[in-house]
Amino acid sequence: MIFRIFLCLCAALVIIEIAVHRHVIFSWEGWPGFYALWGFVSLFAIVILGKYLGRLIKRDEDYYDD
Amino acid sequence: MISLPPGIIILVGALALPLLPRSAQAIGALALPALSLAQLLFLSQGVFPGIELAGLSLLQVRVDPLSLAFGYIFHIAAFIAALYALHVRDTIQHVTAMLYVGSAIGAVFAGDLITLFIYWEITALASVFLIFASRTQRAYQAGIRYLIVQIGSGVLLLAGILLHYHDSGSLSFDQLIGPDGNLSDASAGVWLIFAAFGIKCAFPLLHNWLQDAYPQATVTGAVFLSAFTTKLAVYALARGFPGTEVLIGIGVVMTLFPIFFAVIENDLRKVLCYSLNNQLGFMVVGVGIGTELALNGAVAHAFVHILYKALLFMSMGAVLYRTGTIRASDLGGLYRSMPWTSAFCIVGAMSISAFPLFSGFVAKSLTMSAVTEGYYMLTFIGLLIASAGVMEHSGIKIPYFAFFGHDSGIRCKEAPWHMCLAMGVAAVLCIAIGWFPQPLYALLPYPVVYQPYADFGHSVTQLQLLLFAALAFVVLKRTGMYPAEQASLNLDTDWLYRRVAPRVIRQIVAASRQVGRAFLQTGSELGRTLMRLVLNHYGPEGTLARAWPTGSMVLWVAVLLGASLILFYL
Repeated sequence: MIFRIFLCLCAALVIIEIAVHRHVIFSWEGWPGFYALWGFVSLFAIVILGKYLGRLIKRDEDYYDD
Repeated sequence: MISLPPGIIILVGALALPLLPRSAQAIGALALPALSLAQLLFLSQGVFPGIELAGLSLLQVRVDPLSLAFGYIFHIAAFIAALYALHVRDTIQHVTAMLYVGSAIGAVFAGDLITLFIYWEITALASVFLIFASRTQRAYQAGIRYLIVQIGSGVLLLAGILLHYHDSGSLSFDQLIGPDGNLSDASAGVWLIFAAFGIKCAFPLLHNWLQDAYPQATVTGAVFLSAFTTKLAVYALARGFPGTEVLIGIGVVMTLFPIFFAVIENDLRKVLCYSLNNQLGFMVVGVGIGTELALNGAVAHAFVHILYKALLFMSMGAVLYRTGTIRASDLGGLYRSMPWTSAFCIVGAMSISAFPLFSGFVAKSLTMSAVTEGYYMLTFIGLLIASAGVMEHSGIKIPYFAFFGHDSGIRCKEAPWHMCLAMGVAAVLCIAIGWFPQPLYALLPYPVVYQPYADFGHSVTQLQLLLFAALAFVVLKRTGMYPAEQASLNLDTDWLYRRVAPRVIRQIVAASRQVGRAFLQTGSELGRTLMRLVLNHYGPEGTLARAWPTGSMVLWVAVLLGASLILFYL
């Protein structure tokens, strides 16, 4: 239920964006839905990359205690 | 009272705190920032001479918009943190916390570099006791490492100041970098000062003291620590190095690398430390760009950051105080037991993620528009990724894993009233600044024409960025791709000095001991051989020391004479 409301909110934001005037500096910034896609992809990539980083650097909690 | 340097009231008051009965010390500590703030409000702007010593004017006080902005927020943070620490019955913590606050405020108003150095060192010495006060072996060791790094920064600063004085003949703490903002043209002294500031500001690769030490501090100590040391460094950079181009690159790297560590970190206070590091990056970028808008952005960011970061540290501290753990793997579902703390934490999380109508938004927008104004495209892209990263670790991870997520089964009491009150004050300020940014803008060093809500499209796109990032989190969680929280620690640069360096040193010691032993052994064997040889020839029974019969002597003389006779005739 909460998830559905959340999805509707996301969709609404993309629709609103078309209606409002955008003040754009870099042209790619003005593509419709750019920020939505950017946010989604960034977080996805951060988590996945973080997961791989974890495989490299994860140790036991008492690693330094000996 | 008005002519006293700012911070002195707190410093002297801190030393007087032990005279109070133990139960009144916390209230005394609460009164000090309030008193000092009252003094600050009556202070007029300008540079006030200090003590004349050997022809140098030391302990100068400079009051200008930049120092005042930091001065105000340091007082507010000190008051909130002292309110949060009202239950503490530990004289050492109260005294050192106030010494730490007073010296940080003194440093911000330092007019000359020597004064800056003195306060710089007091902040290091006083703050380490907030780590020691946990009274565990881990905290003690982390505290010692913290102290070494902080004192190291002070030593670099002093060396830099002396070289700079030798070159320029000036001790005043003004812009140290040339007008072109090129660090490679600067003198060695300025380089050293830059490095000292960089250590305290947790530049990439110099950063790990922060994540190493702060999570070991006491519940209340971490709130103090989160506010002062690193923001003092941001102030020092804004004063000495505005427009230093290399800072833009350093800042972008600082916003980016901690977010990957924050994803996999299990200790939620350590997650906040990585987040703190990332936030410092935004401020460093602002200082690096160095335009009026960008410097305003950096100062505004430091101002609001101190509030919401303290709020987040307070909420995690309350969790640690009530449950005894701060591991994400052990927590979850606490919103049932701690509804107020959860709500305050969410306000902090939304502020740091820069949701419109929260304080982070009105400050970060200044920096972001300074970036676009200067057409720093790569910087802009980096900061956009970092913004999604902030949403991940501070916006979602902190509240989600502590208060929601899977139910850990922990049932505890809500945080004590004074903790809730302190969090409430910070939360109200976060929202109020988000709604009414003008009073904050009026405190900034340069006039602000910027209106964060004038461009509605900006608010919409920011919301898009944040909500779709949250959507990605939900998708990752639902598909099981989000890494599970597990009790563990992650290596960072501290691995180099906690694991590699001790091993290398141990090996060098072992190897040199072996060499030494081999050397000694060979030496003694050589000596023994030599002695045996000498004894063989000259000893009591040695060939050369033996008593020979006269007959054989005569015989050998005859042989020798005969031989020479033969040689003569040949």
